[in-house]
Order: sequence, then structure tokens, then C-alpha cells
Amino acid sequence: MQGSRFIRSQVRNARVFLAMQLYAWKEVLAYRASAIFLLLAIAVGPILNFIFITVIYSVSSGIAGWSYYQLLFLSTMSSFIISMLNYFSSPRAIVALMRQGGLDIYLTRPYSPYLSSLALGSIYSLSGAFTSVAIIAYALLNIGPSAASLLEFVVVAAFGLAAIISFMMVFTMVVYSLMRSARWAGNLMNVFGEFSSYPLQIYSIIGVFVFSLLIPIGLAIYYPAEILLGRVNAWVALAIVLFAVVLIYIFRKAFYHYLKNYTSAIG
Amino acid sequence: MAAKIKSGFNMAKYWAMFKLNAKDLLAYRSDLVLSFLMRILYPLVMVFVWTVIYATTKTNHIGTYTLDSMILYFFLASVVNLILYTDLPYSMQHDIKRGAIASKLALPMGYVRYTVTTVIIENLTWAAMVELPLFVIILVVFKVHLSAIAAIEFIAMLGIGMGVSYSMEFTIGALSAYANDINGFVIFEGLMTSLLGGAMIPLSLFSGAAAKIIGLLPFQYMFYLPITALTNPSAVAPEMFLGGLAWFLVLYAIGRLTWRQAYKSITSAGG
Repeated sequence: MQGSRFIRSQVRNARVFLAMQLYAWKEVLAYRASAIFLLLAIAVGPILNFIFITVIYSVSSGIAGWSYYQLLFLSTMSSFIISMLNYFSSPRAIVALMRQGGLDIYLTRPYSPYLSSLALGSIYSLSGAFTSVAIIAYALLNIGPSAASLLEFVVVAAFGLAAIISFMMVFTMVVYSLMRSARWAGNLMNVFGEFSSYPLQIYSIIGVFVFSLLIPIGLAIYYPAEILLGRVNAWVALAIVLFAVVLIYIFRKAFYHYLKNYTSAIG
Repeated sequence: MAAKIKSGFNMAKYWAMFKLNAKDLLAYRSDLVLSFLMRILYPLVMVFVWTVIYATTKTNHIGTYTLDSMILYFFLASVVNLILYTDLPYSMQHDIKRGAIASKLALPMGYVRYTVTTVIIENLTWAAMVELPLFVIILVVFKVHLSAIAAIEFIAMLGIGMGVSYSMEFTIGALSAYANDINGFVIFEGLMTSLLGGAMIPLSLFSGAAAKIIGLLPFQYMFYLPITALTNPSAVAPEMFLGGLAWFLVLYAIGRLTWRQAYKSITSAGG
């Protein structure tokens, strides 16, 4: 009984989430020329990264232990994850909405405020994700991973992505409660993207700690890449997935905690 | 005498705008500090990346750059970055789309002069509060011996870069009269500037046809040439300044022409 109610509630949440996505796309595509140009412009972003890595390997030996295709894969994986992160989470937009009392509308409705907040990201960033997938496919063709490691990679990356999205949702709430402003948060996403474009070891043990535990972006990019390249065994992959699940649970709890203590612009 | 009084009055007007912007920036201090930190973090990533690349390649030079000069390049690029980009296109889009242009056109200063001056002063406020301290720190940390020639060349080349960048931004802003949303143009220009201007990687690392094409474009005046003028002034030939000025004049003319055409098609609620 309890279980079926839970499932019904999740199905309703998912339907509302998809409806919000559909509405957002229709709104964007109302002005087709502008939307298409913006989507194309964003799609160019990962290509610049491709050029950067290519130039690095044409003038140097690159990064020790990483071939050109491996680093291209890692770096483009970072572009993909950041695009998806932007798609589902926009701290700047949500904080601006909270300041104007706009989030209150979503809180009074009979469905998950968490999923509603995920639908408020920047949908344009999906075009960057598509370009990234194309470049990742090109790199993978040259790396030649096994089907098993590819499957492991996809599963771990999906859980890692969910963990970093959950982190950003809590981060948004914390920023609102502390500062009421997140104009700088867009740059923060870009900085995360820059740091996670390269192997974490180059930032020493501190970097590994920060980007694995404090800001879990490594769970979505670096560790899945290591799994794909066969440098991490299946048990470690399982441990990463379990750790991601624990983080998702904690961050979700923290999100609702902050939401309960949230005071809107109108009191 | 009268001209002197007039110019003093004008300066007072701009000084008042500068003070107003400084107060506005300081209203959200933590936001300002974090924005500053975000700017430092990007070159910090490059410090780690290039240190490993130099160690892996087992060399002291990549292109004409030592590890220190490569790191210096990226820190200077982050300083230049703050001066070059403004909110000019979005400000113009807001005025044109929301009808605010109607009241601004009635200002004694003129719309174009008012809007461009406002964003330039906004940037100069940033420059005074954030970039100048950062710039001095960089010069001290990297022990840059700043000769008078290097300083003059840097300021001149940066001035050209600002002219080129603001002209492009103004043209994009003027396109708001035709396009519903200019965000795509702004992002595209930003990406091109980053790659072809040298913010992402020093342009001398490109070779062959790519280097030749980049050398013909105006983007190099935004990052690569001002930074090179500062760090290696002898590498910047006098004709490069002339080329930059020519590009600035061409882009300025395009901006004026676009604005003139756009202006004709602007209608506000008041008619």
C-alpha cells in the first residue's frame, strides 16, 4: 500500500518534470532563429576544448600516463557533465527566482520541489552535451574499450552525475541563505569544468580529496574515465556507485532541510 | 578658460558615474570577492596543467615560452579578460526590447555615448578595484621587469584591443533591433575571442595554415598581442599597431552602420 503510493507519487513527479521540460522547450523554440543560433553557439564550446587538447599534444608530450585520445576523452567527458549539470541546475537562476519570491509558486504545488527545481536549469546547454557525445564517441573509437568497461563507465558516470547535481542543489540553497546572490556561480561551474578536465592527480592529494569528497565532480568524470580505461577494478567501481548513492541521499536530505528553513522574499 | 571649465565639468560627470558604479559593486561585497576568486582559479588550473606538461615533455621551452612565462601569460590573460568583456550587448538588448531606449534617447548625452560610456566606466571601476591590485600582485610574484617601452606598448595594444572588442559588442547589441535574443551572438563571439584571441592558448603555439588565418583576424589584438607587448615587447612589430588600428576603424564603421540601420527600425510604445 505504502509502496504503491510512493510509486504513484514518483510517476506523478516524473510526469510534471517532463511537462515542465516540454513547456520550457516550447517557450524557447517560439523564437526559432534566436534559439537555433544560441544552441549552435553553445554546441561550439566542446570543439574549442578539442582544439586545445590537440594543440597541447602537437607541441608537447602532453600529460604523463595519458595519451592524446585518453585526455581528449577525459576533457570532453568534463564538458558533457558540465553541460548536463547546467541543464539540471542553475544556481544563479534559482537564487534570482528565490529573491523575487518566484520559487514559492513551485513549493505550493502538490509535487516534488526537488524535481521542480531540477527543471529550472538552462535547457540550451543540451546542445553542448550533444557535441561532447560526438567527440567522446570519436575518442572511444580510437581507445577501443571493452563492452563491459563501457557499461561500467556509463553506470558509474550516471550515479556520479546524479551526485554532483544533488550537490549543486544544496549548494544553491546554502548560497541563498548566506548571500542572497549567486552572480558568480556561473563562473564556478566553469571552474569546476576546468579542474575536472584533467587527471585529478595533477592537483596533488589535496585536489583528489577536494574533487572526490568535498565537491564530488570526480565521481562523474575522473573515476568513470579511469574505469573505462581499465585502471580501476569492478569492486572499486561498485564502491564509487555506493558512495554516490550515499551522497545523493545526504544531499537530498540537506536540500529539504534548507527548504524548510527558507524564508521567501515575501516572508 | 571656458573650455577648461567645460572639460572639468565633464570629468566631474564621469567621476560621479565612477563613484556610483564603485558603490554599486560594493553593495554585494562577498559577490565581488568570489567573482575575483573565480578569476584567479582558472589560471591556477593552467599552473598545474602546464607544470605537468613541461615535466612530461622534459623541456624548458614550449614554443617561445618557459614554464614561468607560460603561467604568467595565463594570469595576465585573466586580467585582460576583465577589461575586454562588458555587458554592452545585453544592456542595449534590454533598452531596445523593454522600451527603455525611448527615455534614454532624450538624454542630453545621446544614447550611444551614454550607453558606451556607462559600460566603459563600469569596466574601469572593476579595473581599479580588482584588476589593478591583481596586476600588481602578478608583476611582483613573477618578478616582471616592466620597462617604459613595454608599459607603453601594452597600454597602446590593450587600448586597440578594447576598441576592437567594444566595437564587436556594440554591433551585436545593435542587432537586438532585429533578433529576439542576441545571447547566441554574444556566446559565439566570446568563444571565438577565447580561441582566436589567445585567452585559451598563446597563439604562437598554432602553426601552418591555422597560424596564418589567425594572424589575419582581429581577435589577436584582444589577448595575445597586448600580453606579448608586455612580456616580450620586441616581438611586437610597429605594423601590428597599424593593423590593429585598421581593424578597429573597420569594426567601428560596421558598428556605426549597423546602429544607423537598427535605429531606423526601432519603435517604442510611445511611437
